[in-house]
Amino acid sequence: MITAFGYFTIALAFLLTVYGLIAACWGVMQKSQPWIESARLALLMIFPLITVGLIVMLGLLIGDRFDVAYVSSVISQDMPPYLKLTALWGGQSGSLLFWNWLLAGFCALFIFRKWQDDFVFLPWVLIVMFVTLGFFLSLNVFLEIPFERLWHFPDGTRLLSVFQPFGAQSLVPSDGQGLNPLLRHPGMIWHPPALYLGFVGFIIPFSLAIASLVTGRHDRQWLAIARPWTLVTWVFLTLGLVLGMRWAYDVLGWGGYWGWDPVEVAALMPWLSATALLHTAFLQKRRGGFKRWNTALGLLTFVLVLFGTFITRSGVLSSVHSFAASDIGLPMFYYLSLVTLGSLGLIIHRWPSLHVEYEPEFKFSREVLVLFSNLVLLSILMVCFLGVIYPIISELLTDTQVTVGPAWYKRINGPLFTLNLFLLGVCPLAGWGGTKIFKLRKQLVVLGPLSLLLPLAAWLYGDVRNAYALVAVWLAGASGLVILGECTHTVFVLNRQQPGKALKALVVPFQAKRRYYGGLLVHLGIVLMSVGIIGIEGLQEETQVTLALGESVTLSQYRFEFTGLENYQSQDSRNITETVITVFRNDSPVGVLYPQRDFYPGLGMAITHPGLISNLSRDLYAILIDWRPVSQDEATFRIYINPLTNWLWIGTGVLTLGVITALWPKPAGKGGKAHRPK
Amino acid sequence: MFLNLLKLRSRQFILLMIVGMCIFLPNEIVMAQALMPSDDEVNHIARQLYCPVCENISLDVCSLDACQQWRDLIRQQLADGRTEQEIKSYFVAQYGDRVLGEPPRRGLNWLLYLLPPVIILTGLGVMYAKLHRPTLAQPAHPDKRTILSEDPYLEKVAFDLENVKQHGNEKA
Repeated sequence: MITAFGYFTIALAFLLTVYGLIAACWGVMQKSQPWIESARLALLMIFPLITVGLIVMLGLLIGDRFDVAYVSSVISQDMPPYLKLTALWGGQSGSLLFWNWLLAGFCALFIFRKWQDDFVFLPWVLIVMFVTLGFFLSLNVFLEIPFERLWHFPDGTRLLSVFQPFGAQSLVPSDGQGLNPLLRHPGMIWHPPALYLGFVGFIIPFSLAIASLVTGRHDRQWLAIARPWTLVTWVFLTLGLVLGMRWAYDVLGWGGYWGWDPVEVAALMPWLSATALLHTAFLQKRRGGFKRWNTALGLLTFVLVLFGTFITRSGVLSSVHSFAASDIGLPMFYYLSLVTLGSLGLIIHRWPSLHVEYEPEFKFSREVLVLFSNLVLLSILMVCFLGVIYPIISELLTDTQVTVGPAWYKRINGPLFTLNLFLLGVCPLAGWGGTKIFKLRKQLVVLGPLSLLLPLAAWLYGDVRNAYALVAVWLAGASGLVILGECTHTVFVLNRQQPGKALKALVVPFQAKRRYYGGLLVHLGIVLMSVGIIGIEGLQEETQVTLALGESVTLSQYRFEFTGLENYQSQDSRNITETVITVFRNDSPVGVLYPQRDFYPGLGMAITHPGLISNLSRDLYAILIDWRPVSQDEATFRIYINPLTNWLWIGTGVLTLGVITALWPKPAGKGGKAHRPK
Repeated sequence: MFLNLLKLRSRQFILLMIVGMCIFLPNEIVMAQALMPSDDEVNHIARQLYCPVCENISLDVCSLDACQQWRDLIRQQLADGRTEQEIKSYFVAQYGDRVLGEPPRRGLNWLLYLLPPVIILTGLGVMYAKLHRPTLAQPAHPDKRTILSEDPYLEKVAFDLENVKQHGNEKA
């Protein structure tokens, strides 16, 4: 009964999208505001409806309702309650429901804003949202139904259906299959929701770009509305990606955080185009122009979100992230094609009217550098796209299966990322409209030698001999210095202006120019993240060795001694092997690592939990690869020294802080005007 | 004469043989072990290979039994004195190009290596062609005040900086 009620809510939500779409179209055709208002109300109603459906689903998961097919496919009795809740997004139909809920939530929140000045956009934004929501809800209502129950007939045949078929009895399995062991991790709480939020939110720039193209209002208004929403979505996507990296680092057991798996790459692509959009949106806001570029990026970002969703959910490519094979591949392909071709057709149609008001001159100026950096971001995006689709192209054209693995991505993208790190450092030095290089001689005289200290320190104390890593370290150091210099410069200026008020000087610029300093903080965060990435990509050391109890292995300046092994059965029927490695540096103990291996007998799968000792300069990371039964007490370990990895997580924190600073609302009345020049 | 010697001293000879075996056999084993490639050597090659079953997990970190057998095969081939290239070629011959983590540079695969530089060079070219114009519709140095006036904060900072310059000059 409750399952039928849950199904009823999402079916009603779907019907509302159909009604809303018709109402909005009719409103546009008749130029009738009441119809458009009615469509708007319909959209606002969809979110509470799906919320009810979602609560029903969560109740089924927590209540161990194994007669519901989805529940029995992702839940088992031994799972802790928090994992049962996260199982909502652990399978295809449940995660689609969750996706729809977030999409409807984002749309409702956006539609809730005041539209008086921009009413012309509203019907088209509504139409885009209804089409999108309608499509994804239809998948949940017709193809991937999370509320389907298991039934069996007297002759033994089984059936999945929301409602009881005539003559059938409910089938209640005693236990479910349970969540894939890889997903039984606290990372499951945060990574998928953050990533989903970071995907669905791009419907806002997309719908506004479509609205601006259809209505012919190509001024910067649509972008002004879209920009804060894009920034919020972008930061969720960044957090989603980094949380995924952390999860991989903690569980997957290859000492890394990013495997260039097709689904990872597909999630990175909208991040790249959104990053480009945020930069040129800023240019358009300041200087006008870049209309074609921004409109194209607004459309592209959401198309890439749909492409990523298609890759993950259709089963067209194999990946650790993919859902089980499903019927939704073909409809998703048609929908993706429709959206792509529609967007393309619309922008081509409007291309002449998106005329350029302003184009910067080709010289050393901030706008040219931003454009150049955009070009690099889009090149990385195209490289990623090529890497994802090439295996399909190769199989279609030459009937040869190929693997495009991390080695290729690193070879091609490494220099491009490094180039962007360079641009990120140089950009604050260049002024708007152009700066003569010789005018920067003072800064360069200070920055040049200072920035060389970091690679020098890496050479002398870190024993780094990898030229590429040294260059990257130098660039990261220089970029960081430029950003810090930019921050402190204004502080010095204000402090000189009002001597003795150092604290005020520190706070005032952040209050008065939130966006600018927020932006600098975001860039500082990216630089710090790059430091972490350089550490793990360029400076990682590793060894694999089989040790008997009491034996040790030396890697770099550390000695790892295997000091203990324990094997036991957990309450949730895992076979757990815990090992102890004591780490020494110059014969003084540094800490203890506890690499662990959990074997799930029912599923025949083992999951590694690395041992980790972490500080700002390096991570000591050990994985238990294998162990011999008690007679020999021998175990095989893979040991890594990952320099600077912590900066990847710290940088993400700084980046988030920067976005919060940039988005912090202006203080009402007084604050904004208090420091205004008289 | 020699045989006689052997006959005469057969007991001693057998004893000598046993002692010799005791001394040299463990050495033989130790030498074989020393020749056996280390896990690191095996992983160096395994990292570049992907088994056809696993989903985008390189061979050095895959925990499946099949992958363990592949790693043992690499170890055996390394012990037999095969080079890295020979071992990779062996796997390609057995299972096709898909076992390689990076597609080999031949045929259509050249797309993967040539397209990225072409993309960025074309982008640079287009950007240069669009922005590098002998005559500009706009002034080359747009009036900073008109730009700054769009942003009240920047306006304030410009004002502050102007102030500082003046103060500085006065002090000087």
